[in-house]
Amino acid sequence: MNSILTVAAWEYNRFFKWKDVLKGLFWTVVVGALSFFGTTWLLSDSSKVAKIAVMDYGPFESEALQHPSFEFLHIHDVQDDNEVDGTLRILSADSAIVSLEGQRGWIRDLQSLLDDLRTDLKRAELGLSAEDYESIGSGIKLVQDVENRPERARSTKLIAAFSILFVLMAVFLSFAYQFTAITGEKTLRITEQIVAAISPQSWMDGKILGISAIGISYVILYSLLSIGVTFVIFLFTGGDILAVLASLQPVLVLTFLTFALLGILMWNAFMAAVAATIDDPNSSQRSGLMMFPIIPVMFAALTVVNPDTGAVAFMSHFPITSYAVMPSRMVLGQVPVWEVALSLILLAATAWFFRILAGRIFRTAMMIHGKEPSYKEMWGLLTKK
Amino acid sequence: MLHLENVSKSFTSVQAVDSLSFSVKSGEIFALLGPNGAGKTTTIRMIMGIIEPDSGSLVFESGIDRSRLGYLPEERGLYQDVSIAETLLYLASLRSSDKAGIKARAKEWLNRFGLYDRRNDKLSTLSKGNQQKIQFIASVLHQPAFAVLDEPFSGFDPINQDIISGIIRELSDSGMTILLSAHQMQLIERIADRILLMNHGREHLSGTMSEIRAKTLSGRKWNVRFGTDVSESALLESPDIEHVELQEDGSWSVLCGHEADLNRVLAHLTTQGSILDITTSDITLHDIFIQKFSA
Repeated sequence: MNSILTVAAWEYNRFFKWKDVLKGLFWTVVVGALSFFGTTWLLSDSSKVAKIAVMDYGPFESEALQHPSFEFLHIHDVQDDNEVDGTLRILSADSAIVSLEGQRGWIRDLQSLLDDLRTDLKRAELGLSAEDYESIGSGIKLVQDVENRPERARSTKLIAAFSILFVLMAVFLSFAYQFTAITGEKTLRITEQIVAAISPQSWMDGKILGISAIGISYVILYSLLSIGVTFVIFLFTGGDILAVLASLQPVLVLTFLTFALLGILMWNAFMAAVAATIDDPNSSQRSGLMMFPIIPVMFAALTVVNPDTGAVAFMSHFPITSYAVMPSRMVLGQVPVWEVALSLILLAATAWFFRILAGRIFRTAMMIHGKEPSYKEMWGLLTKK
Repeated sequence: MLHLENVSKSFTSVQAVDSLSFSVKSGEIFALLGPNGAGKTTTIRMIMGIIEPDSGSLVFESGIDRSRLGYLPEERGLYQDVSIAETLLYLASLRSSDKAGIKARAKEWLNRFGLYDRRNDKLSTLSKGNQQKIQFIASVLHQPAFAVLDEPFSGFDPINQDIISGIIRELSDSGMTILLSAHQMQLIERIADRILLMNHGREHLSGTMSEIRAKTLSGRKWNVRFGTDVSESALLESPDIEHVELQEDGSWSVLCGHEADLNRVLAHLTTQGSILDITTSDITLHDIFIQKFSA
């Protein structure tokens, strides 16, 4: 156990450098701030009042053309063509032409204004009051009264969604390190020194733990950053962050985080097994297997359609998909405790199985240089005693 | 310390080690020699537990486990993007939990090799020779009871080869058992207590240097300087001469068989050209190696 922790600490410290992480966070904040302020500035600039020259008002009164985004001028009042942003000619209540130099964002506002004018005109022709018209346009209000379906707080749903995204984020962050960590020693010819000191399984376990810890660290950091940003937004918008926190259901949140943790470990063990068969990560076809963890998220999204089907129940227990599907199922309905427990046990067992698998493959593949074992050879490695 | 009994290992169609048996005594320097492909590295990898023998037994003295072994592999490398100190501490801490002791000894070793001031430098900034020194330190830093050094002199200039051989002798004198494999015969001859020559995965000869000399070519080596050009094939025409080798100084090293008739050898040499100088010298391990494996 001591050697596993030594390797885990080594891998963690080798790749997770606080200086680099803080630099990364700094640039994330800088880019985020630039995007926010840049977008705000661009929007404010583009939202200046547009000058429209009107050639013909059609069936509408000239006074009716009023909108904060526009200044409407009669064509005869225009001294210089360059001072207007467009020319409008209303042919009838159903047709109008606007001439402009290129696509402009304000065209939607103009469309909306003309639509409103037309609606008022038609309503007057039909003798309908504004209330009558609104009543005709409104639909029927359908309230869902679902039996045995506890309503989860929106914040709990968000935590479930975030825990799934965290797994994805942690796993994808870890992958590059995992491949470098496992194939790196082979490339640098360090393998023999290490496996003479500790067993390949201990080495692999240490790597899985260390690299998983890196992914988890990044997730924690970015989560804290997100919480900080949310807190600041709440401060400015007057939202009650304490009320949001109070609405969280701790048992559910803990369950989601356990699924996330086991999911991260399982996928890292899986990727360690894949990386153990790779000689050169830059040219290996097996790098494509990195996309596997996305599949459960796609299935989780489908549970929204109907969380009660047999297929969804199966996927919420099947270890490859359960880390995403079970939390999703839990927020959409009531899942018996034994099912959640069974799903967690299966997920943990699969993570354990993948770690053994990775160790076994690595034990033999570590000494092979210059070629990757075929799938047939890999099966041989797995079944070899 | 270590006992191998009929150990064999094959890879696909190659019999790398074939019923090899030997023992390494506690505190000695045991040299495993042989030409390339003789099975030395496979034997060493089996000793280090990196690969399993197909058959036979490989037993360490009780109390010797992985943590008490040191290993300098033939195929070696280091983490290039990590500092010297961190690398040494990591590799040693895989075998020992005595972090304070490791740090203190790392300081001593780095000082000894003149690298202490560079302890925080990345390994990639060191020369190949200095990286080899770090590699050597890593193999003995945790004070193993039994160290296996595969090609410990490779990558070093002659001065550093001498320094390393002196250190190996020193470690042995302090009680460390050492098994080494190398191609620098003069160094092996100087420091090894016992030698095992192997080829095709089998033992060829073994014993102390004097035992090996007695079993092979004792006292029948001449260095002959001719006044004219002489060909190797012409020299080897005598059935008494087993091996000849042109030396860097232009003289010929002539090895005679155990039962050779020296008068006949002299007569043959004089027919090859005028002899300017002739001296006798001791048979070296290098001579034995060449004589045994040149074919």
